[in-house]
Amino acid sequence: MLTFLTEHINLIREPLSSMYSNRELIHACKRNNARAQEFLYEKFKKRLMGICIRYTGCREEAEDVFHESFIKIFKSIKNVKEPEYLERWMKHVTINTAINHFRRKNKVPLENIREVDLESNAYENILGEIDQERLLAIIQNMPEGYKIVFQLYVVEGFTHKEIAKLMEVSENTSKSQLNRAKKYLKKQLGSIGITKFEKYG
Amino acid sequence: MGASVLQNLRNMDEHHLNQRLKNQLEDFEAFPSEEAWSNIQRALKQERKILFHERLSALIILLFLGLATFFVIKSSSFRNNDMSDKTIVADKTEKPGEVNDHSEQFVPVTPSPPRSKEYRRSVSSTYDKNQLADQKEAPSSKTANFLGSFIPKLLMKGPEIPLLTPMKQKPAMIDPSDKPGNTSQEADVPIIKKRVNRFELFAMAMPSLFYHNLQTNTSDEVVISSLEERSAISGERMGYKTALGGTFRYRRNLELSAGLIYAWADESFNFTEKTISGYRTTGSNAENTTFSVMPEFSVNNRTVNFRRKELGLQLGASLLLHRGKIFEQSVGGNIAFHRNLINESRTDFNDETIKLKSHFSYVSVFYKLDYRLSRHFDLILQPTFNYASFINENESSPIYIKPNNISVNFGVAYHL
Repeated sequence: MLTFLTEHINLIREPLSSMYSNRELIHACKRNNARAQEFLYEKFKKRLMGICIRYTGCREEAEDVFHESFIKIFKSIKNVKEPEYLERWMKHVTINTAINHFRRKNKVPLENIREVDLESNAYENILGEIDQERLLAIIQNMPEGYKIVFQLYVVEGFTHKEIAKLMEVSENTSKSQLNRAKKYLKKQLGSIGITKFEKYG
Repeated sequence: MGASVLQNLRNMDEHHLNQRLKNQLEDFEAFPSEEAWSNIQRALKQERKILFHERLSALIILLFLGLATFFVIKSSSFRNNDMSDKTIVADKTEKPGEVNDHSEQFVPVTPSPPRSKEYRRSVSSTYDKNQLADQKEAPSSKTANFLGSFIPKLLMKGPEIPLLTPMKQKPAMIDPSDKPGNTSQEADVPIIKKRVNRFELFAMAMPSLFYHNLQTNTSDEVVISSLEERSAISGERMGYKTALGGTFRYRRNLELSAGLIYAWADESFNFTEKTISGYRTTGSNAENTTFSVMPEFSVNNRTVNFRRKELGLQLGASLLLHRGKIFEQSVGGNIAFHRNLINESRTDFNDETIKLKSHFSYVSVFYKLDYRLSRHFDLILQPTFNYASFINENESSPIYIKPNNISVNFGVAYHL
């Protein structure tokens, strides 16, 4: 009996380590276990902060979104039924929070453009070599609307229809925003001397 | 043909480009500030504290609503203390044929306010003065509370909590049908989008079933022996309410509201009255040292009608308990100030209409179940406990509505 109790006390005292499965982690977080929450935070903080920085314009805003995202995560973790998708779900929450942040900040809706001539602006070529940080800096400096649509389309793999639903804009607006983002990207790359684009295929 | 191939090539190029950008951006990581975790911890503690208070408030309201319903039902069981079964036993000092006042033995179960002079006049004129001559004051009537045979059980099972949908079926990381802010993944089921505005206008039409707690006036000569029982769901219980107002979402789950209300109801209550027409004394032993005094009654069927139309200002707050895919459950309270455009009672004693109070206020607590019909329309079911001040007490009706009642409101609301 004493051994059993000691084992359990040790188990409680023992810090959560990477050997703990997502299922156990979720279960512990559901019960507001502070150590489990901290472990979850430590495990995913860099990735989620990366998303926050990508979707916001500056570090300060990114910190706000990051903070809000983690609060939401801890509050809604009880809804996670499939632990193997925990990380995806957390990313999902973070991106949603970033979009909400954008919507709160920008009261003016994205410009609605009915006709978009994608053909003439197709960017069939792309930069040869650019490091991640420089690319990120360019994307961070994109106007808000472009930035979110661009990332939802290019990085997250959404269709324009899905983006339109998510951001409550028309599909044409989503297309035009993406188009402008691409033009912006091309221009910015040109301004830092990358004018020779490598052709893929 | 050539153009098509060129287009395909361009699409392929774009795909590769996107893939490259995705690869570079997707795995980007960064460190949050050092104080980020302590800030999150602090906020979580605060959230837990608020959640605790919210749950406690909701529990108290639900408990109160439950207890109020219980007590209204309990007090509604009509206590028919048939006075004809009562025997007043005189003490030995009383002489045969001498009737003392024993009306204190008929002290009402529930105290009630005195009735008006008009009613006294109207009632006393119907009696044979000779029959009542022996009475210094007639025995009080019994309290007669009435609700109905039962309150229908409202089985309000909340919808299931939104759950994570398997990602296998959803290649995209964000479900586009899942609104920003909604962190659950429930998009396989069609969801009627919940409004997200902080400020909203609403219009509401709400029929209500009233379960009143009635009481008889006790300071008169009339004994109400029975009240007509009405079924729990009956047109006779109906009242109607319309409202126009606005809501302000103070917190994610706390909503404040203000609105103008127009309500009307027309209710009739049938009852059987017993009036004391005289007393009969009987000796109980050979020496006639003790004797009994038996009241004698006449029985009449009567009706009292209450009619009211009112205009009011209502302020309220509601706490969201659960928001499901199409259902929403909340608890809350209101305070309202009403001006009665019409508030009167009419009895068939003398067909006289009596004007009742022109102003009153009430507080109420409720449980509300919202069923979202569409983005703008909700169906509402709302059992409510109301406590009204000065609704129509001190009036000359043989029965009056006690200030506390239960109502089951149901209707449709439009949100803008």
